[in-house]
Amino acid sequence: MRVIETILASFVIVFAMSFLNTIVISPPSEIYEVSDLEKLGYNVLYELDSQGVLKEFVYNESWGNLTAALKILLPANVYFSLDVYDVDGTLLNQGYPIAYGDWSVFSESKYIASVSYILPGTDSRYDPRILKLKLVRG
Amino acid sequence: MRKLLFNKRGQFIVIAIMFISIMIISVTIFVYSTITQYRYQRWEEYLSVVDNIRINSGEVLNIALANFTNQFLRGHVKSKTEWEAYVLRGLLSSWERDLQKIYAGMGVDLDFKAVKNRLIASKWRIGDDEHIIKCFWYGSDSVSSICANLSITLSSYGFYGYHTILEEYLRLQVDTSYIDMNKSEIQLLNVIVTKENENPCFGLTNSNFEVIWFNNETNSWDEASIANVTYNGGGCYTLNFTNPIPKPYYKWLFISVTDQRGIVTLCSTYSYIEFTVKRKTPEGRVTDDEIYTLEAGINGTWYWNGVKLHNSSASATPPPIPPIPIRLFRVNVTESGADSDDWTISPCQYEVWDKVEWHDRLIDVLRGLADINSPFNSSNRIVFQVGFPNSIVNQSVRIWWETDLDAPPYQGGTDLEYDSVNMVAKTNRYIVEFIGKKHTNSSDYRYPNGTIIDYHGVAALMMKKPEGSSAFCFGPWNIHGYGKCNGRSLAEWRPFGEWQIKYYYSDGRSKAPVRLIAILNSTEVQCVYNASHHSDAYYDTFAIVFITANVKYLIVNTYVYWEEVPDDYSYPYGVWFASVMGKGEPKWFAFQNQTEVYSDYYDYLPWPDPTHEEYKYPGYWAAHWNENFGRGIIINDKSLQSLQSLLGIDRTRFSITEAMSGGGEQGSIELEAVNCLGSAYRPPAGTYYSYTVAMWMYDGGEDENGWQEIGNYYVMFLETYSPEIIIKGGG
Repeated sequence: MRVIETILASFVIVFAMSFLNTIVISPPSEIYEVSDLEKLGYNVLYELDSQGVLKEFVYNESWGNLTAALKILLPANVYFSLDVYDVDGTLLNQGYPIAYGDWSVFSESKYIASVSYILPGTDSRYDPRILKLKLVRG
Repeated sequence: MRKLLFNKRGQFIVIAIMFISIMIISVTIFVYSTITQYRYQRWEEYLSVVDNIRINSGEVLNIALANFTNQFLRGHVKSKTEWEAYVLRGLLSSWERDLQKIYAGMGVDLDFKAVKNRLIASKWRIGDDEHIIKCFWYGSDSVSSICANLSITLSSYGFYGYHTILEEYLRLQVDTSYIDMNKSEIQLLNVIVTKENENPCFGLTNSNFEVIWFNNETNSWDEASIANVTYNGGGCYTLNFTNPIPKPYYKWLFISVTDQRGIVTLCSTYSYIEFTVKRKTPEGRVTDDEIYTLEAGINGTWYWNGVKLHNSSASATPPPIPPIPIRLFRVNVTESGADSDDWTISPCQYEVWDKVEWHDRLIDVLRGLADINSPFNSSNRIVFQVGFPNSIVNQSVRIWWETDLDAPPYQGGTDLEYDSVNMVAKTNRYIVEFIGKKHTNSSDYRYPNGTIIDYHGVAALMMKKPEGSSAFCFGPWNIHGYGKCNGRSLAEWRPFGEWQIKYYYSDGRSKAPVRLIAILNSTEVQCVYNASHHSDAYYDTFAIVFITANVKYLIVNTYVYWEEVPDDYSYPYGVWFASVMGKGEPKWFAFQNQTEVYSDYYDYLPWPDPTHEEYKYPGYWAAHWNENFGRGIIINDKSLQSLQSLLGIDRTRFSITEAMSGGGEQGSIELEAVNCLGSAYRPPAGTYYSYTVAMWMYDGGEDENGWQEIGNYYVMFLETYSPEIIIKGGG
């Protein structure tokens, strides 16, 4: 009788553990990856904006300086591509890619983080600029 | 318990209970973490969006404040309220729309609301105010601020009502201690510039500052050249001028600063102008109703009844009235003499006086009420009242200005009202009904049989006592007249037209608290006895009426220009400067001639004998009254000269008409430049004259001496006795 009880108890434990194992599935690591990259991208843009340099670079169209600033602030293994649009959706850095990294990584990776950031204007002038930053780990 | 523990068959039950407990706890923890894992990741995403919106909404407010303050300083904003309603709200809507476009699918919704009951820079208290932008300028400590309660909603995330307060400001403080040092000139000026959280504003150069001072030689506000700016830390700057600013002009400076964000604020080194008004009328009289309605113009000019007042402190330079929005001005006066400290606020209003070309002449006339949002300029005058009860000789006046840019024009207690439906103006002293093209008659002016007398569009003024009873109403006041109708009825041709009433300011809500203005600009004449007698020949009339609260007088300025008098006219007799009807109510009349006062009673015999009596050489006043009501017409020296200018003093007359045309008692008082009982007179085309007539309303008298009040007060309207101004300064 005791043996039977022991066996039954063991079954119950094993069944419970198996059940838990089936319902608790941790998010895939890629989700964490995208989330972290988005956070990183937003923090970098926010930091540049807080310092006042983002506005200066964007409204003066200093794309080279903006690329350099992003390169410095982002880790070396994070590739990025930034597009700047006006409020009508016109790409302002046409022909001047603000980017770093291997393009093939962007086209091949399934997990690209994307951050949108808006600047309302400068010098008492309301003239929004929309920044779309794409990030991927190289 | 002991039995349960040591029962050999119970051990598995205990173990099973323990395992089941562990399972339940584990499942709960894992399920919880699974759910919250999802939420955690979503939170990260919209946290950054909210942060971006919050930070850059502050930037949008910066842009708004910079735009507003810049445009306001340059005079491009007429009304702050309108700017906020249209431009600011438009900007905030654009920002919301652009965010909705960029963060499409998130359901972005923004709401900016004014923050009430707060302090700006620990100094300026904001109460129940709906303005997002609050600026306090024109003092030695000024601020431009914008503050909004921002509510962010991202509906697709189920994120509602995130609130944050956004505030930006720029403060400028000017050190005015140099004024007390009484220097002969100043070369530098210390200012402190701070921004939100009382942080110093640094990095400003001379291009960020602008200083203007009033140059008496050029009669304008000139910019002082700033050679360089020294930063002393803590937001303190020293402005060094290229050329020193001399005394006393350095007392009256305006300093503006523009920070790197483009926000502007403006300081002034003085906040009021003070002077004494000295009564010049003879002593030994009752002066309780001697209340002057004065006008203050630019560059230390004051006016009373069309006369520019003498400034007896010629050596003292009067402080300039600053070029700030006119609605901000206020006036305080003393009540018990210049040396007393019993200041009281005086109702004040703002008017536009300008030179108007009228028949090839430039006449200095009132155009109307000022645009309350325009800066004070050379055409503007601030109108206020100064009384001299108990034979007081001197009273102090202080013109000061509000610093809150949202301050409305002065709208304090007033006894002036206007009923536009019945065309009636009321003060606490009298009532005036405007008779003219639209409102052709008054029910208070009738023939003895009760028929209302129609004036057929003649512009006249119906004066009444405030009680409004017909017993207290004499007849209308005709401001000009010419000729006889059918050789018998007097003053056939009178000005025809409509009174333009100036009672509301440009905002359509604020009212004139001191005096209502009625303007008549007429090129036509009309006969009151016959509706078909109408002409655009004879003469043109331009008249301005001042219906003034709190005083017993009403003033009319009249300008007359003669066109051709038609040749076929048979009875060109008589020119009237005033013809004031009586409706048979007054019992006595009086007038001042060149040497004495003549008074008598009206002899209301049956019409037509006598109808019209003329008395030679009228002087400054005439009156008629009964036991309840009386009124007098008063002219000044200039008007007396005009009266005598047509055919000389010999044809001038004070006259009365005791019986009205068509029957009934009249009892008028009239002032004739050319008497109608003399020979015919046709004024040559091009004849021009102007005159001012004040009407004094009072309680009448019991006998032939009921004119005493007019005899007492008429002097205040004479140029010789106009008040004098003594400058005290400004601070």
